[in-house]
Amino acid sequence: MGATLWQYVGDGLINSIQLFNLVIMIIGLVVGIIGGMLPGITVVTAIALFIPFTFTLPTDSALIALGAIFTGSTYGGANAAILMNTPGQPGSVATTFDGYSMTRKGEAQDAMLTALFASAFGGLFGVLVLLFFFGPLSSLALKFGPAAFFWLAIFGLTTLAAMSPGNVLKGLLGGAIGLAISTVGLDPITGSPRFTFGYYPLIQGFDMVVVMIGIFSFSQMLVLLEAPDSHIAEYVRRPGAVRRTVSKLWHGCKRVLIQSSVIGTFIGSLPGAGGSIAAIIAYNEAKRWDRDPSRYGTGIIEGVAAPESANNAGVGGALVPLMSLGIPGNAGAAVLMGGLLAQGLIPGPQLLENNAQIAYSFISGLIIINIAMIGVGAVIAKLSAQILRIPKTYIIPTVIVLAVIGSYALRNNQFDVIVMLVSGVCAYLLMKIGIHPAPIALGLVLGPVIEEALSVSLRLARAKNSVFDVLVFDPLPAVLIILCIIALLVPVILDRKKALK
Amino acid sequence: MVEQEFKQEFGQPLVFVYKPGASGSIGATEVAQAKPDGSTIGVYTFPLMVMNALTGKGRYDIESFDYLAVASSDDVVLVTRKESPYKSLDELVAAAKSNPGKLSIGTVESLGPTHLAALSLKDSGVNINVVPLPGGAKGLAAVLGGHVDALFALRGATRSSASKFNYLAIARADRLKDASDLPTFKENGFDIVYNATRIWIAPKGLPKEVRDRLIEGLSKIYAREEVQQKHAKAGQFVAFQDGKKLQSLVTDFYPKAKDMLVKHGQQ
Repeated sequence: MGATLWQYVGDGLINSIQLFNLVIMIIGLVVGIIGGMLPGITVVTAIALFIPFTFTLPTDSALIALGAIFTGSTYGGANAAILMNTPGQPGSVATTFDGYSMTRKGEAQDAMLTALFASAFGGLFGVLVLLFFFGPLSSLALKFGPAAFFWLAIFGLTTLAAMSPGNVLKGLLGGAIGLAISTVGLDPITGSPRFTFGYYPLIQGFDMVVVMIGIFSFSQMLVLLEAPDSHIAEYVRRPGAVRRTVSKLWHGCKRVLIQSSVIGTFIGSLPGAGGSIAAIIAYNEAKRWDRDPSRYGTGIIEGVAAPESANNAGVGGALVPLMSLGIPGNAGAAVLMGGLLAQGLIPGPQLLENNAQIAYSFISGLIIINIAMIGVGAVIAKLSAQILRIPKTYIIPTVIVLAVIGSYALRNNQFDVIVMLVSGVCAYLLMKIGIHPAPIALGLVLGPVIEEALSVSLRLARAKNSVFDVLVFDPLPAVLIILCIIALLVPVILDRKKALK
Repeated sequence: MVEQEFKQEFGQPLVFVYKPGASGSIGATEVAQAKPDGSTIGVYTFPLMVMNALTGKGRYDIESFDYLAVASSDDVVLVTRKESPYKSLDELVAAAKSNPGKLSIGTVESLGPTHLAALSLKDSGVNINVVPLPGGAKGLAAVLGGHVDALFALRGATRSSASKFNYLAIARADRLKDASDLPTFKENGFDIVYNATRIWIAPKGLPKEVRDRLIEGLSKIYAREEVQQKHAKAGQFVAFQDGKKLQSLVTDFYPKAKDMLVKHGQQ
C-alpha cells in the first residue's frame, strides 16, 4: 500500500479543496448541522433527505456532500442540547448534562465552542483511525459476537448509577421504565407481538427517537412554560471565548478528548451500536476517572467535550466495517451506504480493490470536512446562540410545532405524534418526583440491544453444552463482565475511603 | 426505484409514502384497507406478506389484495466465511450429521425467505441449530466473525464482500447464468427454493380496466433496459411476472407456509 496510499490521500485532499467541492461541502455541513439541531431530524433522516440531491452531482462531489452531512448532523445535535436542554438526536443526550448547566450559568458560548472543537477533534481522530487501521479494527469488531454485545450494553447500564447523583434508586427506576418501554411491540427475533393489548398500532412498538423527542423536547417546553423567567437563560457575551475555550481544552481536557475519541471510534465500529451508546459511555468514563467526579453535571467543559468527541469519532468508526466488509456500523452508515450504491459504488472489500482511489478520496475528504466544520459550526453556533435573546413565548410554540412535525415525519405515522405528547407529559410528571429523562433514555437505547443480544446468545447456546459456554466462558464476555464488576465496585470503594477520611 | 418511469408511463406522479414498522405489515395493512380505485397501491415483499398474514402481524389475509406484478427478486444463498472448514454443501451436511444439533446456522430475518430455507434444510433431516439474526448487516457480521457456522443470506446483500465468503448453494430451481459454478440445493437433493421478491399489490376489487392498465404499465416499465440496470446495481434482479402468475404463487405457497408454521411454532 505505502506510497500509493499516500498518493490517494493526497489526491483526495486536493480534490476536496476545489472550489465546487468546497461549496458542496459547506452546503452539506450547514444542512447537516441545522438538521441535527431540530428535534426529529436525526442523522439518518438528514442523510436520507439529502441523497436525492447527490444523484445529479459527479461522484467525488456526491461523496463529499454525503460525508459533510453525516459529520454535520452528528455534531449539530449538541447546539440544541446546550441551549435548550433538548438533544437534537439520541447521540447528544449526554451533552445536556453539563452543556445546559453551562448555559444556565451564562456560559453558553463556551459550551457551544467546546462541543464544536471536541466534535472536530473526535471526527478527525475517527477518520485517521479509519484511514490507517481499518483492517485490524474491523477484525476486532467482528470478534464482538452477540454475547459480548450483551455485556457491553450491561456495562452501559452501569452508568445509570452515575447519572443520578444523590439518588441511585430513582436513576435505576428511570432506567427500568426505559427498558420496559422498549419491550413493547414485536420481539426482535421471533417477531411475536408483546404488550400490545390487542391494539394494532402498538405492534410497531415505541420508536426510540419519538419517545426521546417527547421526554426531552416536549417536556422541557413544559418546564420552561412553568418557570417565571422570560428567557431560557441569560445571554452573556464574553469576549475571547475562542481563545479561552481552546486553552482550557488544550490544558485540561487532553486525556478526556483522547480517551473519549478512542471509545467513540471503537464502539462506533461495532455493527449495531450507535453514537448514543458511545457518548454515554465516554461521559461516564470521563467522570469515573476524574479527580473529583462530583464536578460533572455542574457545567464543566470536560462534560461537554467527552460525549461530543465520542459521538463524532463514531462517524469514522461506523465507516470501518462499511469500508472493509460492506457492513454499515450504524443506521447513519446504512443510509450512507444507500447513497454510495446510488453512485454505483458498492462499499466493501471490492471497492478497495477495484476503486481504491475513490474509497481513499472519500476518507481523506472527511479530514477536510472536519476542519471546515470548525468554521461553519462557529458561525452557526454564534447565530443559534441568539435563541437565548428570544423571549420563550416564541420559542416554546416553535419547538412544540417542530416536535410534532418531527415525530410524524419519522415514520409517516399519526400514532407517533400521540406517543410523543403522552411520553412528554409523563416525563414532565416524573421529573417532579425526581426521575430524570436521561436514565429513561438510556434504558430505551440499551433495551433493544440487550434483548436482541441475549436472545441470539441463548439460541447459539443450544448448540453448546451450556449457556455459560457462550455468555461467560469466552474471552471477550469474560473481560466485559470484569469491567462491569469494576464499574459497580469502584464508586462504592471510593465512597468508603472518603467516609473513612 | 421506478419513480421517473412511473410518471412517464402513467402520466401522473407516484407519491411515495414510506411506512416502516413491523417488517412492512403496517404499510400493507393500509393498502388492504384503502379504497380500491387504483389510487393507492403498494410494494411489498413475498414470502413475508404471506407469513405476516398467518402470524397476525398484518391485519389482512391473502384475499385482501389484487395482485399486480412481481418486480424483482433476490435469491437465498448459503455462505460460510473463507476460513471456514465447510467449503461445500456436502461438507457442511456431513458435519451436521456427525454432530447433530451442534452446528449453528444463521438467517437474516425471522420467517422470511432465509429463515424458511434454513427450516426446510432442518426438515430434510439435517439436524442444525437455526439462529435467526436481526437483519442482513448483523447476519453478515455474525458469519464473518465466526459466531455462526454458516448463514442463509440474500445474494444481493453478500456481493459487497463476496471475496470473504464460500458460496455453498443457491436456493433456485436452476443455476444462475452469471454464476454458473454455484450449485443449487436441488442438485444436492434438497428441495429448497426461496427468494425475496418485491411485489406490487393493490386493495381487493380494483375495476378491471384500472387493474389491466396498471399491470400493462408495470410490465413496460420493467422491460426497460435502464430500469433493469438500476436494479442490478442495488443488488436486485428484475424478474417481471404479471398479476396472474403472482396470484398463483401466493395461493400455492399459502398451505405450505401454514404447514411450516404449525411444525415449527413460534420458535
